[in-house]
Amino acid sequence: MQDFLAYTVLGLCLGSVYAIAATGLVVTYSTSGVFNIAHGAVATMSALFYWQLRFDWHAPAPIAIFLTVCVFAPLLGLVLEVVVMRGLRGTSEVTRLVTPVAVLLGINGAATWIWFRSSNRALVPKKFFGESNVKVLGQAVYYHQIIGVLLSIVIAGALYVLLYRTRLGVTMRATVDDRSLLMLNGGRPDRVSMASWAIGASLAGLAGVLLSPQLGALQVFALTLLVFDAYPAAVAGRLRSVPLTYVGAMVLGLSKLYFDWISDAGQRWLVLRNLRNAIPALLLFGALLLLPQDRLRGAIVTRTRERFRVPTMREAVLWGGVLVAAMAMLQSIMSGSAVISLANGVALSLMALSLVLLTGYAGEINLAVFTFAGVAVIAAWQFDVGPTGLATQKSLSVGAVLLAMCVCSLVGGLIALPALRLRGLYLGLATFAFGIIVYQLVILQTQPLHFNIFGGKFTVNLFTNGSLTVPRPHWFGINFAGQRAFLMLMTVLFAVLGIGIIAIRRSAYGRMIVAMKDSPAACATLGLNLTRLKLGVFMVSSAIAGLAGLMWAAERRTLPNNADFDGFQSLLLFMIAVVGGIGYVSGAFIAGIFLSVLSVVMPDVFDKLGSDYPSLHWLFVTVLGNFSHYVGPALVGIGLGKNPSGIAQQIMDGFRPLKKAPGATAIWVAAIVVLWAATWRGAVSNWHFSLISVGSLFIVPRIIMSVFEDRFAEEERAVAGEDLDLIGIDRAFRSSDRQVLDTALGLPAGPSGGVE
Amino acid sequence: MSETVLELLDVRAGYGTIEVLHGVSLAVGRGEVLALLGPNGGGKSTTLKVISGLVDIMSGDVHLASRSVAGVSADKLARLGLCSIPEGKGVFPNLTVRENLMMATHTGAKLGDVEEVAYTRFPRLSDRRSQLAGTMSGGEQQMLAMSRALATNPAVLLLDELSMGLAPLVVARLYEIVAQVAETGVSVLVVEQFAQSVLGIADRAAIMLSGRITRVGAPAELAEELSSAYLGGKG
Ligand SMILES: Nc1ncnc2c1ncn2[C@@H]1O[C@H](COP(=O)(O)OP(=O)(O)O)[C@@H](O)[C@H]1O
Ligand SMILES: [Mg+2]
Repeated sequence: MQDFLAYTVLGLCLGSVYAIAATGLVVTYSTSGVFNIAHGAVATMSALFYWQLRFDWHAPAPIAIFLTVCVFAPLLGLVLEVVVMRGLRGTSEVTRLVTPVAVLLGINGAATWIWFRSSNRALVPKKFFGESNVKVLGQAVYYHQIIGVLLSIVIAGALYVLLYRTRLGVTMRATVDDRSLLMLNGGRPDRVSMASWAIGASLAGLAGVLLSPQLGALQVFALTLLVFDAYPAAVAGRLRSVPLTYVGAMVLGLSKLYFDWISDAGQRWLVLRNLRNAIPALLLFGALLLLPQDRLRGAIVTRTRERFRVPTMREAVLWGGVLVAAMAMLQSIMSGSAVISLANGVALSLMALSLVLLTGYAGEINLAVFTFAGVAVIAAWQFDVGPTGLATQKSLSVGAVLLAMCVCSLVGGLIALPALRLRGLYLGLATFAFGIIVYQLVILQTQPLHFNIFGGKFTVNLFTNGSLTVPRPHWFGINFAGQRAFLMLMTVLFAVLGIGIIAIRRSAYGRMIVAMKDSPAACATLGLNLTRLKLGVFMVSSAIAGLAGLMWAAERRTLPNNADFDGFQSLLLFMIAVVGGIGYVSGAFIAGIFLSVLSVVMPDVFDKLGSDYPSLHWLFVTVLGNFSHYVGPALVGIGLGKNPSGIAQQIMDGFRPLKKAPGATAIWVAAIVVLWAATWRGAVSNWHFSLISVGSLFIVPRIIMSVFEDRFAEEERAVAGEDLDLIGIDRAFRSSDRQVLDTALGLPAGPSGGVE
Repeated sequence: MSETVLELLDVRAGYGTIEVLHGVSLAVGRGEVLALLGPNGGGKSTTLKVISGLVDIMSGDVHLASRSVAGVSADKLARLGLCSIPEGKGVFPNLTVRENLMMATHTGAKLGDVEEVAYTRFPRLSDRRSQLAGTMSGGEQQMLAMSRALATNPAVLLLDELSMGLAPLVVARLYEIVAQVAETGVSVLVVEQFAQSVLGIADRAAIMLSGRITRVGAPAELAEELSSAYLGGKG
């Protein structure tokens, strides 16, 4: 009993800090409608800033605290609101989800760059008043923890006063109620937003400082994850209610501590060793599923700025062929290391492809793509290697691939089922939580699992030695073990899957999927079975993710169980896929290549430049190289608010002129082929080939545009004319229109006649 | 007519790519009450949203006191003296009466003054100052919304379907107050579907059909035309 009480006290202490962190999220979400996933990153940055002041420069604690919580963090929040979040108005939920992801990765990248770039020094934050503590029921409660509790009480009170007693606070609540009415009252919603982001960031900063001593030594992503633990509390408060958020935070803190208590700090059941770390994700998942439906209505159908065009089957097949041919030509003149980067990029493209179907077409979200890769690898390994644990198989078998795809598909269905009624942000959080749960309980699991089924012993090996080796395939008599052959295999796979996905999109089924994205309510009233649709999309997309994940793992050959599955890689991939153009197969390809180029190739290029020009080493390596490595991917995501349809769309717009001038285009393509042949024979260097061919991509469309100006004037007019083809806007809705709609949506033929 | 305070010049506006107002021109003089009438979907509310800055215009211009205000944000216009009470939701439902009044102070009025005006005009509100506005009756909500118009001394007052869902007696009382407001020199633009309730106080009336002003004239004259628009005209 005494133990129970002691653990209760400790649980409440932990809950208090979670409450501070989660309240910050609630404050920003409720006034701006943006769920700030970057909250954890703001906390991390602030904790590092505090460490810098307090422990590196030895500022007195009160001054360091003041500068961190009242100056630095709020400023960071202000900058985020003004520079980034303001541009998100009128964009889709996916964009509003992804942009904070980009901010998170950007801030963490910057933090890594500033504090962890060179030496491996340990940044150790200390608790307030060091180890001083009082004994409560036999348990040491540190002054630091008591301060946390007191601060959370003070903050609760201060927030109450702010929201109910000051005009700023009442205005914040008014924004939530009716933003345009507030404007009609003369209130300035922008200022309210700025204030709420400043307050939210300040609370994040405080939580970061309070939580950081838990880590021993500061680590950027570990600290961010620590703050993520508080997110379920905000969801428990429906992202709106501060009191409920406090309740959620206490439940969270108590769950963790009670688990410590009954499991002897994780010593009792080895298989469940990581359960403690999965508790927040489990609670998040649970909270999302249990909260009443109407309160979770995340998606409101509005006109958004994203627009995607569907290619015809002919175009799809043509471009698939072009991709394979171009890749074959390209890899033949590339150096071995360049082929490796490219193969890595194509593998990521394959993973992003699963998101085109799921998110681009169906509007559903999966923030755990890499988790499927992990699951696929476990399944395939199980099939090929078996319970003996000996790597007997030298190549990846077709059976293993099929099994992996089936397992992933089932797992995908398994998340989709409970999450059926979740959309947008909430679905994103649920899948993210699912990823964390699998990571903690399955992927980090090194114990083999033994089952007794019908008397037979059955063993499942997870990442038994902390890593799994995935061999490359040997199919159709071709050995794909070599880097170039494997690259081509993946490219062909991408082309085939891409064409398949476009075929799905063009089918009646695809139109149903898109209708589901645009208006689930309307679909339900039309008699579509949403459950089946959603389940189907999730299962197909998960199977693709599994296949892609297997290829990605085979590309790397040995897959360790740590870095890639903690959630951030999945976030990054999702973000880049949206940046590439989530509605396009080509967008997925661009995304993968882009990710590989930005995080691997660019730093390499700058490294090379740095060693070629030692006097400019600081510029190329220290500034540009690190910048592109740490902050580059995030920056492109942050720009998304300006161009929410993605890069693929921009490129297509850029190349539209070529269609009007087939002769000139043919000459250009022929010129590149000749140049390639010359490079292949060694007459031209790779460097010049890439310079000229990539450069021409930018220049040629413009030249053609200016030469054939008169033709484009015509096209512009034509486009303006065909802009809208909505039925019923320009003319009355006829029963023939209804038949068209019925066939398009795959509905059973209704009684004829009908609306006239 | 005295000096023109509010003027729309051949305004085209709409939502997204769809044009709803196809060239609307209107003028309201100082202290004048103009009733904008017409059937549902004609674009009356859109006209008010254009004036109050919530909907951008595609072409044409809006003048306030002879200055172009096209493109000026809604909150700025409100602080400049344009008071707009939107259709059916003139109050913040999850804020108390007192907090709703507090929002009126964004125009620069003092909370004490706003409360005094509101509670003297509508004593019923003073008993309910800490009740959530959304839980009050429709009439009380409109009184609360009107308090803002009374307390902030606007130059222009825009009212959208004040009578919607209210008992005739309440409507009559509210329009009486509108008339008094206009007498102090405020230019009032009232939107209603049915003419009856506002005819008594309107100086002039205009009919709007399918995004166009089809007639402007004396209220009584137009009342008849309006009923034919409902019964036989295009919808
Ligand atoms: N937010 C909106 N988005 C798109 N169309 C709208 C919106 N609000 C109104 N409309 C359309 O504009 C037209 C005019 O509406 P409105 O101005 O509300 O008319 P009224 O107030 O005269 O009933 C209608 O056809 C309506 O469907
Ligand atoms: Mg209306």
